[in-house]
Order: sequence, then C-alpha cells, then structure tokens
Amino acid sequence: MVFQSFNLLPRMTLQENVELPLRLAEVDRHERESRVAEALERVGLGARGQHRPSELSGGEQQRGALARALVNRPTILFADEPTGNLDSVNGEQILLLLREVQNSLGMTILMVTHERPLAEKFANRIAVLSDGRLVSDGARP
Amino acid sequence: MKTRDLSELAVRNLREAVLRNSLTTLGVAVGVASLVAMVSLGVGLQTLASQRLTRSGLFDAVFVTSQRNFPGARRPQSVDATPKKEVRILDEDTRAQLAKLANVTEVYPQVRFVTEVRFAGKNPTTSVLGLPDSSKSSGAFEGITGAYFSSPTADEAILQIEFAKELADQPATLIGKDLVLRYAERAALSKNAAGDSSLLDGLMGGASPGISIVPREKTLRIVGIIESDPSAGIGGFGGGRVFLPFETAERLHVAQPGDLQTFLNGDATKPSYTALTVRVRSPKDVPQVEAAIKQLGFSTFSLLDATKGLQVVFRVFDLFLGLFGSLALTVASLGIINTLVMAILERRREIGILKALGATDRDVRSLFFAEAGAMGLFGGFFGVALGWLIGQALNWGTAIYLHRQDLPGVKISYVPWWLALFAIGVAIVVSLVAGLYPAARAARLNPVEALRYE
Repeated sequence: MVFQSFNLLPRMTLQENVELPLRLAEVDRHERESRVAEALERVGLGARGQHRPSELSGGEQQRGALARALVNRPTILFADEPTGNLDSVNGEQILLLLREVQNSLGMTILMVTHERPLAEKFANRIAVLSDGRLVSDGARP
Repeated sequence: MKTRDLSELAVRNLREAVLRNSLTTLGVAVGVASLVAMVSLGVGLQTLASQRLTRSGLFDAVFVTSQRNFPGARRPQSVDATPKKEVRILDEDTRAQLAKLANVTEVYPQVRFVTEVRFAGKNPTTSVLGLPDSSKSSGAFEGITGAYFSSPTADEAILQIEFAKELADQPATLIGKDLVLRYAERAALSKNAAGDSSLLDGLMGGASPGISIVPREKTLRIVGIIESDPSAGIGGFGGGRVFLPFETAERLHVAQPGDLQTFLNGDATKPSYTALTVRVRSPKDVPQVEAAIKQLGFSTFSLLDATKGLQVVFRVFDLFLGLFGSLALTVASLGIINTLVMAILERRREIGILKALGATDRDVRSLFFAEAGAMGLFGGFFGVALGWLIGQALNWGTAIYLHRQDLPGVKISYVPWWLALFAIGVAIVVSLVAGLYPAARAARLNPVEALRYE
C-alpha cells in the first residue's frame, strides 16, 4: 500500500516505519535488519534511516512509504494517488521509481491518479473512471 | 506479533505521550496508595490493639487443667466428666507435648504461692508469682522503675507498687536492697530416708518414697518496681505482689496445695502441675489450639471463648478499610479506561495504518492491553511507595501528637510485604480489566474508515 498522504508513523524513525510490516509478519530479528536496509537502499534513502518522517521532505517520505510497502516483497502493490501531495518533479521521480521497482521485482502495480499525463506516460494499461462509472479501459503499447 | 516486539511497541507508545500517560499512571498510583495507606493503617492499628491485648495476657493464653478435680482448683469442673477415659495428669511429658502443638509459643506452669516476706523489720504475707521470660517482651514492663531481671535464673525480685508502698514510703529507694522470702519447700525423700520422717510413709506401706516439707529462706535483690500487673489474667491467675524470674521460682520447689493429692495418687517422683498456661502466637490461634488440647484429654479455658466479639470487630475493621481502599482504586481504574479510550480517538489513524500493514485485530488488542498493563505495573510500584510515605507521615504525626501528650509513641501504620505485593497485583489486574473495553474497541476499528479520517 502506498498512500496519498504517506501515512508514516510520526513517532518512529524511517527505519522503524519500514520494519513495522516485518514485525507484524513475525519475521526474524536479524533478517529484518538486512531487509530494511535493502528496501531503503532501493528507494535511495539508505542514509536517512534514523530520521523521523517530520525531518524528511515530501518526496523522501513517499519514497520511505514505498520502501515500507516493498519490504514484505508483495506481488501486487496498491498506490492511492502517490503523487497527490508532491510537486511535479518529485511526483515524476516516484513514478520512475515505481516503474524501476516493477521492472526489477516483477510485481503488479495498481495506481489511482488524477493526473492523466503522468498515467499516459507510465502505465501499461489505463482504465478511466468518471463519477463512479468505467469510461474506457485499454491496454497501451 | 511476538511478545518482545509487542512490549517494545507498547513501551514506545507510552514514552511518546509522556504527559498523558504519566498522569494516568499517577492516577493509578494514587488509587493504590490510598488502598495501601488504608490497609496499612488497619494492619498497624490491629497490631497495636493485639499487642496491647497480648500484654494483658488475656487473649493469647489457654489455661489447661487436668480433668481431675483438685482440692484447690478455682473453677469447679463439671461433675459428669466422663470417667471411662483415663484421667491424664499434667506432668513434664504433657508440658513437652503441648509445647509441640502448632502455633504454641510457650507452655509454663503457674508458680504462685502465698508466703511471708521479711524486709526491714516488717513481715507481711503476700502472693509471689514466677514470671516466664516471655513476659519481658510482651511490653508489660514499659513503665518499670529500675530494671527487668538480669537473667531467667537470677535471685532477683520485682515488686508491685502497692506492695512496695507497704514496705517503704519512697518505693524507689527499695531498688538494690535485699528482701527475704520465707517459704515451705517440698522435697522428695529418697527411699532410705523415707522411713524416718514421713508421716505419710505408713499410709503408703513403704512402697513409695515420701515427701517432706521443709521451711526455707531465700534472699532476693529488688531490681524493679512496676505499676501495672504483668500477669493479670483469668480467675485470679494474676494478682501477684512479688515477682520472681520463672526458673528461680520453680527451683524453690514451694509446697503446693496439689502436692498431697498427687502424692496420694501414688506418683510422687514425677512432679505434676495443677495447671499449665499455654501461650499461642496470636489470639486468632486460640480456638484451634484449645480444640487440639481438648482432644488430648484436658480441660481448657480461655477468655477468648467468651469474647468472640473481639474477632468480629477485627474482621469488620479490616473489611471496612479494604472497602475504602478499593473505592479509591475504582476511581483510578476509571481513569485508565478514560485515558485508553482517549488514546484510541487520538490514534485512530495509527491503528488504521497498523491494520493496513498487516496487523491483526489480535495484535491491536494486545498492544492496547500491554499498554494498560504497563501503566498498572508502574502505577502499582509508585502507589506502594506513595502509600508507604503516607503511612510514615501518619506515624510521624501521631508520634508528635503523643509526645505532646507525654505518651509513648506508637506505630499506627505498617506496610507488610504481602500488602505491597498484593497492591501491585491489584493495580495490574485492575488496569488490565480497565483496558479490556478500549482494547476491544481499538481492535474493532475499520482500517478503511480510520484512514479516510484525515
């Protein structure tokens, strides 16, 4: 899950936030550490693990949230307007990252967005919803 | 979630909202403190009361007599005493047997005789009593002028003030002076000597050694004078005027009214007692010890028999104080419920995220439960400390007040270890129970709704 408003727990450091799903899944303590480091590395935040969310920029927070979503090695990732709270530069970075992750880990990503140009730039398939109705659904080259 | 992770998260959450959580913990602490203070007051007062009553020697003693009728017995036995059972005699063996019973602290015969005392040309007749060593620790000698016996075998005497006044106008001047006791000694005769002097020998046909009665004198140093009667007891067991250390008094072998009877019953070699006093650990133990002694075939008498009401008073007292204490704890647990419910409202989002990341209902419930338990634990510890401090303050205040009134200080509040443990246990249990509802509520929270709440 990646959210529009990041939803990192403000009381925990980035590292702990990323570790949380592993804790809940009862993953072994020493295995956790390496998986957290790997996930942070993947999103380019390897050096910021000890910072709290409030000390990070919006883009960094969203990348942290992405690391948290990836740490469990999911086969499908839901993203609810991940760029909604970011400026266009950071937004594009996040989508590039998503694409990269999708390529290297081979997972399915389902993303909701209001920004049609972004969708057209990155998506393999776009379904358009308008007022709750499916307007079009088509694969793209 | 694993227990270690769970507790880590719980402690972390508690630390993050320091102010609110410490206020709640303080609430628990105050509740526990009032419980501890109340009960410690109850325990303290009860200890004090039973100390005073024990001092009187009335409530922790069982008086044992043989089922046989003694000529000198003060309390007539019921005549239909079942004769089919063998009549048991109170002798050394019985004394040892009684001392082995559970909750019995001491067994001693009564050494009491009326005799003549010589001092400075006066020779009043008075009653002499042997005091067991335990009477020193009972605190009956708090107001003594002079000192207690230097040893249980010392040739020393303590006088009762009324009697001391008969001997001298200024009783305090008597201390350190000697007085002479004139008494009749009972001596067992050896078989050879029996024929010579014993009048009774003829009656017994020479089969048994006789006894002789010999006048004796004993010089005793006066070491103390007391105002209270340390041996006040049942049916004239008290009322001594001159007190001797128990072993000193016993070694005098003063002739007793029962001697003749014992002798005529044919067993003069073994000394027997008219009555034994059995001291028990606390007045509560009296009924049980009494029953055990009756089972052995002796007659018993205790004042507690007649004053069952006293026990009822103690029980009601305990109940009352405990009730007030738990009232305070109830208020404290309402505080815990309040804090945790507030925490849920404040942490809806966090709960939603946890659930979105894979936390089960159970994980969320355990987390809130652990937080409640931790607050109970800390609150319990602080509460015990606080309650102890309150008790100390009460002790201190009472001491000052009593001091102003020229009375000896007493300890009215006392926190025994079981009370401390019990209070901490109660705090934890109450906190967990108080956490039940908020934890269940948090677990039920719908993550979709919780996260939409922005």
